[in-house]
Amino acid sequence: MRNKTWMRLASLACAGIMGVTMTGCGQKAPEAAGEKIEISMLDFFIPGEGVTKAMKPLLDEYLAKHPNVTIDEESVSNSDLATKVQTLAAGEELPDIFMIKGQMAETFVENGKVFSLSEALSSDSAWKDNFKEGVFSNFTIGEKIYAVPFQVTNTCVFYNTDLFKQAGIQEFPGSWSELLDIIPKLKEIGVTPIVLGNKEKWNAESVIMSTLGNRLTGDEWYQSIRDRSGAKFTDPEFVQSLQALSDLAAAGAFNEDVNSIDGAQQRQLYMNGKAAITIDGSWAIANFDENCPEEVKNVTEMAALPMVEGGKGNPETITGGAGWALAVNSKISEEKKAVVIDILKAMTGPEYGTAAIEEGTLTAVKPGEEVKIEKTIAAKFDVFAKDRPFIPVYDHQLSSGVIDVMQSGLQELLIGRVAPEELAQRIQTEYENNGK
Amino acid sequence: MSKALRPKNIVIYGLLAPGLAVFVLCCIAPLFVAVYNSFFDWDGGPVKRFVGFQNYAELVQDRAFWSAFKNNLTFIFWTVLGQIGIAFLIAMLLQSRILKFKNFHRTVIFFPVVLSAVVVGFLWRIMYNSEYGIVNTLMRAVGLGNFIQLWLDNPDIVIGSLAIPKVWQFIGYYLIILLAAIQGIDQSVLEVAELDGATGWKKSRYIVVPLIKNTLMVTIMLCISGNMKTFDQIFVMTGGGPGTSSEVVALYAYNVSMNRMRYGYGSTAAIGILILSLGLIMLSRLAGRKKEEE
Repeated sequence: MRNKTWMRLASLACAGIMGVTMTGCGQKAPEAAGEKIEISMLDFFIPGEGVTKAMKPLLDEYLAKHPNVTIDEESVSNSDLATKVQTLAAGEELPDIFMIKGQMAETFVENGKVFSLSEALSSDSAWKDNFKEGVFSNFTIGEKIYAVPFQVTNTCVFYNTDLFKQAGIQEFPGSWSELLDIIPKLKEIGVTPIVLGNKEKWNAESVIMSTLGNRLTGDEWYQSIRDRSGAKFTDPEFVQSLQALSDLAAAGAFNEDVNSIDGAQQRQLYMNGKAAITIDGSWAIANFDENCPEEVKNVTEMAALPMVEGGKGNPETITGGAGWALAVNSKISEEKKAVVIDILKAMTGPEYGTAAIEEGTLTAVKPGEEVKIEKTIAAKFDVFAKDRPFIPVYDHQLSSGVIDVMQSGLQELLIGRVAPEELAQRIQTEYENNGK
Repeated sequence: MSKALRPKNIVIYGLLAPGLAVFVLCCIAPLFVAVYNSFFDWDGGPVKRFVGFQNYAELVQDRAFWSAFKNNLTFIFWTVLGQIGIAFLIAMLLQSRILKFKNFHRTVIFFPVVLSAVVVGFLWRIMYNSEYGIVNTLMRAVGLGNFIQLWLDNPDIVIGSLAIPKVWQFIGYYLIILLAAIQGIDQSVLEVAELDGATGWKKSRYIVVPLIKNTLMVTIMLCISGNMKTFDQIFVMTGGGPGTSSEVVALYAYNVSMNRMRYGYGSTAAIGILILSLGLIMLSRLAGRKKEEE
């Protein structure tokens, strides 16, 4: 028995070594049609996640139909993927298909890392038209599309109506000052008013600031920041939005250990009924449906972040956009090109749309048929998000330097260690110095 | 070793070569690549723009880098004090006659050294948790509720909180080195000292410390260089936060390269760490030598 395990391990190791050496010289032999083709792929489809459950069967089906194609797939977690893709790109070792984030798109295109998919998309209008509106915007550089999205993420407020009732609050506040008013009431009944896990730094920026910023600045200011046509982070409207968050933190709305717990712990606290409000992304929905106790699940409702008085934004909007998308290596060989496009089509067709909705994730692709959503939170969210206009998420589009400074700064802002004006100035300095 | 027993030179070099090759390939070569990259403005693509010493000029004026270096210094202060100080105390205890089960103690204290820093980081993150962490729970239980802190959320103490796991983990390592040095002291010297009335504190201060001084200098050097490049555990525990209050230089170099995609400047920061570490070590050696002359 022991011997057998050992043998198995040894053979695994040999296979590993062979795999390494084989990928090393994979590009050597030209592959004629019908011959064996191996496509390498790097993604975050780790077992157990909703998107994987929707995507995997479609890939398997494709492989069954095309026995000459094999996929050498490597799946890592979402947060590791960003580092991994960038490292591989720097070392010129990107696989044939990989995933990029909106904020990477510009650099990757400038450096000629990604293959333009515009042609493939326009030559198959059925494929292209089945994508939801606006999902390509993060991956369109200079009129050309460089990656196909499959998932959209939204952020919104989830709140526990039961705890609200206990605190004597009738409905979710519609304005920022009303939100500030309910904080003491919620604290009185011994719960954390708003739970936030900002250890990984992106949470506060991505799920709160992107929306809160828009409430005050409106779309025009943001567009101007993106185009570099005059708007500044030190403009009063953006500073006011930082001030609004600072006020909320100063009112004691957040848990004290806001910068040392992470997103998973944040959800945990909400699901245990220890917090009345959590502001989170749509990625949390499947998690809520699976792990949330019934008594919290049934009283959870969704709302848009309250409007700040005097803001220029539309109070109905929530953030939405395709964070990650599938891109193709610019060095792809002619033989592989057709196969890769076929695989992408198989992965992002209407069947995927249907499967993804059934798994409770939000897709960038329209479903092949009407799907009835059975899961509680997913169904509520579907109603909530219907026909709502979307606004972009900062870290999907702004340059990484600016985002890095903003994210670190927000951690300090949340514990009152930096004034809104000073943080705005820091972001602006980074924007002027290092943005392109 | 006698000449007859000594293997041929070629055998010695042959046996050394594989290890040396791995070391050169994995440690020395990347260093030169980093030096090379530090002269370029490079965001990971094929376009590399040569900028000469511009990155270095920027680094010298970069406040974020220097504040990270300051964090490193604080971190080094606590870890040198904690690791070597406590290791020395324990080494003296292990030498004394009061302590029983010496081998057991030595093994247990050495245990954490073999753990991965990431594991230690995760462990301590849970222990520091304000709600269910064992640190605060214990403090509440023994009536020290007033001293409860947000260990990883308070920028004023976060470096200290991060240093504690590091100290805890590496005491065993320095203990072994110091123990070997103390055991190397001639027993007759210690006996004579005791006869002359140098016991307890006096014995360690006037007899043991001067006699193991060289070893102490080496441990301090190891401790400084080890903690200059500290990265993994802080990365896991706070990621440099809150804000940048626990960002150390290695983390800064990583952030600049990986999050801001400025690989050239990131390499410059890494070379900066190298230069500063060398500087610190030279300083510590100078300080040591000066004392000797006195």
